[in-house]
Amino acid sequence: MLRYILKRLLSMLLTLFLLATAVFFLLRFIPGSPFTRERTLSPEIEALLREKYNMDAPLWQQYLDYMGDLLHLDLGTSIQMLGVRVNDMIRNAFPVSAALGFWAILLVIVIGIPLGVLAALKRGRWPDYLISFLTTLGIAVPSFVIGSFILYVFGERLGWLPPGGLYGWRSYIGPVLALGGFSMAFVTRLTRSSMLDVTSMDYIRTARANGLPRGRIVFRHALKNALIPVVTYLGSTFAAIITGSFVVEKIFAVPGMGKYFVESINNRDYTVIMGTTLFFAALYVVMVFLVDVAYALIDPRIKLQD
Amino acid sequence: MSDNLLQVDHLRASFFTHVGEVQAVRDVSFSLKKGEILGLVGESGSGKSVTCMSVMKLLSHPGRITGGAVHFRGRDLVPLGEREMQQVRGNEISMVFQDPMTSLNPVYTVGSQMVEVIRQHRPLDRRQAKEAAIKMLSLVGIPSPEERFHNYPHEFSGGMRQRALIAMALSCDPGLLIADEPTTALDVTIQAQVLELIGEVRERLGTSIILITHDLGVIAESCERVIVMYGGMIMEQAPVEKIFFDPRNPYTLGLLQSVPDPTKETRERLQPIPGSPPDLLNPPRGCPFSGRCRFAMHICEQRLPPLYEVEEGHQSRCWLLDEAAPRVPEIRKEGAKG
Repeated sequence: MLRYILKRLLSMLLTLFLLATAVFFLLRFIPGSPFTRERTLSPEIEALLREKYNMDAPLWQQYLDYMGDLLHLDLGTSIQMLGVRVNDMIRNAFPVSAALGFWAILLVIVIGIPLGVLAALKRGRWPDYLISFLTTLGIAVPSFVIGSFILYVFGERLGWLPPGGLYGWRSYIGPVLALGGFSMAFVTRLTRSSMLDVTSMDYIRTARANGLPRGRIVFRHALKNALIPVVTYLGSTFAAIITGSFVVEKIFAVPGMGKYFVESINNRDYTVIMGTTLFFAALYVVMVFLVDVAYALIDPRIKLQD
Repeated sequence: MSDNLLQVDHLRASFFTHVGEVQAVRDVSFSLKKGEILGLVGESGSGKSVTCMSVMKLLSHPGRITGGAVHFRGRDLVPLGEREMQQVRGNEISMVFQDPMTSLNPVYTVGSQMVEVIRQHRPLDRRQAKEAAIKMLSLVGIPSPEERFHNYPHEFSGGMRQRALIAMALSCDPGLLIADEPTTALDVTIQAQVLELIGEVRERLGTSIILITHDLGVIAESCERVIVMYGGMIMEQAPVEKIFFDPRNPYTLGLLQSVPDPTKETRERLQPIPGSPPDLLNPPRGCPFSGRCRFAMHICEQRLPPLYEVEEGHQSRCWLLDEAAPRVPEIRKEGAKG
């Protein structure tokens, strides 16, 4: 077991190293530079800026310097926002996104999975059709529409929800729904189809033939098997949800991490792009690892061994 | 009801598909005595499995029982609700199925699945249920049952899984065990062991058994009485030796002639039954086998033959047995194999 964890850890680090390398070089191939403005800077000033941000050195030197800092978990300083360290940026913004993400994930699990089970149990009857309709909406309607709709109807018109920002539990409702809506709908559908697959399995027939009550069959025998594909999806979704969404944060004026993903690319803010990408990737590989652990917990046929 | 453990009367079951009603079981009646072992033969789609699923009321949507009665220990099961049936299933009537590889839940240990069934029907605590389960496992011939109790299904071989499933089915000492092609998915040597086990179970526990199969060899080896089904109906019913040595139905004869006889040296070709089973969406008006029967007469397509009593305990559904029918001596000759 320990050996397995060490092995996985090593491969996670390797993944991150390769990713850092690839992103680092790819970034330099994007046309333009962090200093590209509508009003061109004078060559002297640009030269000074390049020097300040270590961009006058040869590319391999820049790479080695960056990787050296990365070893100390130092993501460098933003090029666009004067003097702001990327580490601090993430440290300030991530908890905000994570708080929203936490509730969104809870929503996905606590609402999405039971709704899927319900739809499967009531297959072909009105609860199934209703859930199917709602989940189709949830999947088809983009988060900015859901977000704007909530903000307009419940915030502006009815005045039940605050217009934005994160003050008090009420202000969480809108962004959490917008953030988790798609995944919740997706998980509901996934759970439904997976439950239906499992219900036609021979071991469910065995359980019925042995006189087990329906509730036990559904929740003990079917659900545990049906969750395997759901867990797969949840792993990667967690990483995405918890790091925030540009769109949702923009609509609800939430100071989360999502905006850095988009803005840094627009600004070609090399260090911020590197920082946010690596942070996301690190979360992602950890989630994938946790999914594998979860598999082993659910399904005894899967063993965590090399 | 007399001494019959199970008495099925005029049972009908259909599947209501969107193209129409598929009449899978059409007026089936038979009975089973305590401790008896009955074979149910027929090709795929003959209604043998649906008959047994109906006895346990396990048909799921869109299938359901449309008529008849199933008396078990004198009580009709057909009107019972789901909750009452749960107390019958696994407790009074148990069933084991064709594919042991997929019939156990892969995510729980074999032991915990057995304990669950036992505790469902018996007021035992966890420890007592575990003891009972281990006793059953050893009864069905699983070596070192204490350790095997903690194994997951994937750690069992196919034959062992079928043994475990039989142990689970018998754990609450049911009066009737229905085995639906229990050996089809197993290789030949394991097949023989499982059949032997089923025979032993009957002797040791006095359990009545219905053995569903399409394998006449299995029937010859283990059954006392045989019901031959075709097109959702009983075609012939007789003691096992009569079925093999004195069949009175062209369909039974066809079945016998389509399997090789290892005791004969002849290089005769096997005779498959030409054609395919009847469409149960629009069942034929006459005898279901008439379309494929080489002895078919005009009346066979017009009217359904009744079950003729050939002799005590031997019935056959065929117009040839009618007094007015022409004599067909070769049926007896060819049927009298060996």
